[in-house]
Amino acid sequence: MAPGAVPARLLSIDSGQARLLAAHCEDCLSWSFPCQDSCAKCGSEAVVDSALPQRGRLWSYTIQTFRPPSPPFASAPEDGPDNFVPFGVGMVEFDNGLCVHGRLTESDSSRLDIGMTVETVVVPLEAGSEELIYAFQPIRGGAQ
Amino acid sequence: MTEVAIVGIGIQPFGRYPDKMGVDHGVTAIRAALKDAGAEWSDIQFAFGGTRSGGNNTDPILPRMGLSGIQLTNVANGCATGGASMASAYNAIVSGQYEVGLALGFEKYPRGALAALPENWALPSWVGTAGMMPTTQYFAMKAKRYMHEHGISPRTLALVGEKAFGNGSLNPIAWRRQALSADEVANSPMVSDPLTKYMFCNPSDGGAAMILCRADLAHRFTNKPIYLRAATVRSRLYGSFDVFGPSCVVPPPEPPSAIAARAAFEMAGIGPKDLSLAQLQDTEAGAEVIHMAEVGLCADGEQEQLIHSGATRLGGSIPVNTDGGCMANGEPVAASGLRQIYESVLQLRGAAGQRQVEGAKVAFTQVYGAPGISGCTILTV
Repeated sequence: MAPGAVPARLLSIDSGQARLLAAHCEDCLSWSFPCQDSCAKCGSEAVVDSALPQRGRLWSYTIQTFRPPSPPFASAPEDGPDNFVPFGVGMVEFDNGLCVHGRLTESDSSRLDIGMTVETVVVPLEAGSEELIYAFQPIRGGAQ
Repeated sequence: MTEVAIVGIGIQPFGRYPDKMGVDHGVTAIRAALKDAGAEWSDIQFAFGGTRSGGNNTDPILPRMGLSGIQLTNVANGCATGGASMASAYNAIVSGQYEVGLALGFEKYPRGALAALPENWALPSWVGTAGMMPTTQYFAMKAKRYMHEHGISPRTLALVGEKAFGNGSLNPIAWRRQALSADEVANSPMVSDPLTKYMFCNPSDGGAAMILCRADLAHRFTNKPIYLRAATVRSRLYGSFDVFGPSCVVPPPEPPSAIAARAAFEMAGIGPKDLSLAQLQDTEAGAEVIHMAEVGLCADGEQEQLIHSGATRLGGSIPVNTDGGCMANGEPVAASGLRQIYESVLQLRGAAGQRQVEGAKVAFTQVYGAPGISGCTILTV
């Protein structure tokens, strides 16, 4: 995968394993996602981009059934109605208490459950795109 | 302490008006409010107003109403703009700076879901390109989690929709006036699991205006002043789960609507048990259910029994969204909170027709907006 295609300060990719980055505050120990230059809780500028655990638990989810308005969505209506494929989105809870919004690799709500284990993966922004984005992939048999 | 009265209310009924500009709706609402109060434009000393899509700001009302040199301040607090305009107008009078003024909102929206750009919310562009900006996603995930934690059934969401369109059918100025059964709501196409098409409101056009004055001057305008006992605005705490928030902490802290509501009850010296009715932000059915608990009408999970027993319907113990709410009226963002005030004033005047809540004395309103702001008011006879 081309590292340049990953948005800045978003992902750490090591040995094929993707982990999200969040700003960790050295003063109050809170986390801010996406990474920013100060702490969302206390405003301290003593923050360090740090990797979140690779796996988390699905805290909530839904299915995006319609094409989001474009802009800002990558694919536009003129791309044709057939190239919009509904996708799942969720909030994923990590062991440090932070919960992150992201796309899911699963788009069938009957195969999703609150509490199931998911892992962070990197996927193309859309089919054929060179731009990459993170997504959460359910681990089969990993429901807790 | 100085008290504040609402002496005039005006509205451009919400809907879609392809041939009109946003400012037209603002002017229509202001003229209606002035007529209602028996006031002249020259009586207005100040205005707070908002518009998100009806133009750059509300200033174009001035050359329509008359360039009188008043202080006009624009308010931009997302879907909570109406509440923030009311709070600002309230404070301008309580501070002693002014005696008579206006809270205003108007909009004109294209069809379809709101197209929010991440750059406008200081978010990285990938939040938008990846398709994570639709507010519908947030509302659906909040509802999904809440239902899981507090035992709310999908049927309850459908009953909220049934009530909204039922109340809308009794409201001559509602946009959606066709009653729908809970089954019709439940069986409409799924938009964002667990929320179906008829559980969502739509952006719409419209305008609303309120004339406020120092309470001891109210008799100049009306013999039925309605008193604004509290008007509060609060933003979110670290880690809260809010619109356009790419992250939260678990469990999230107290949400902004809970904080704003508590502050309003404290300011008014009135409790949730004293309310005759409430207008709650119902951008979708899940929001109405959740906001009932956030503002203190009930404990988390009690909505299931309350809604099934009809407590929030007209004639119930605490009617909610008596005019059909956002679901039946649409949501012209900056005007929407003022529609809640408009309906509450009608109710407290005893002028709400078929929707009248018998003996209504105390009304509560709550708006919630991106990216995590809430505005609440309490009104009394």
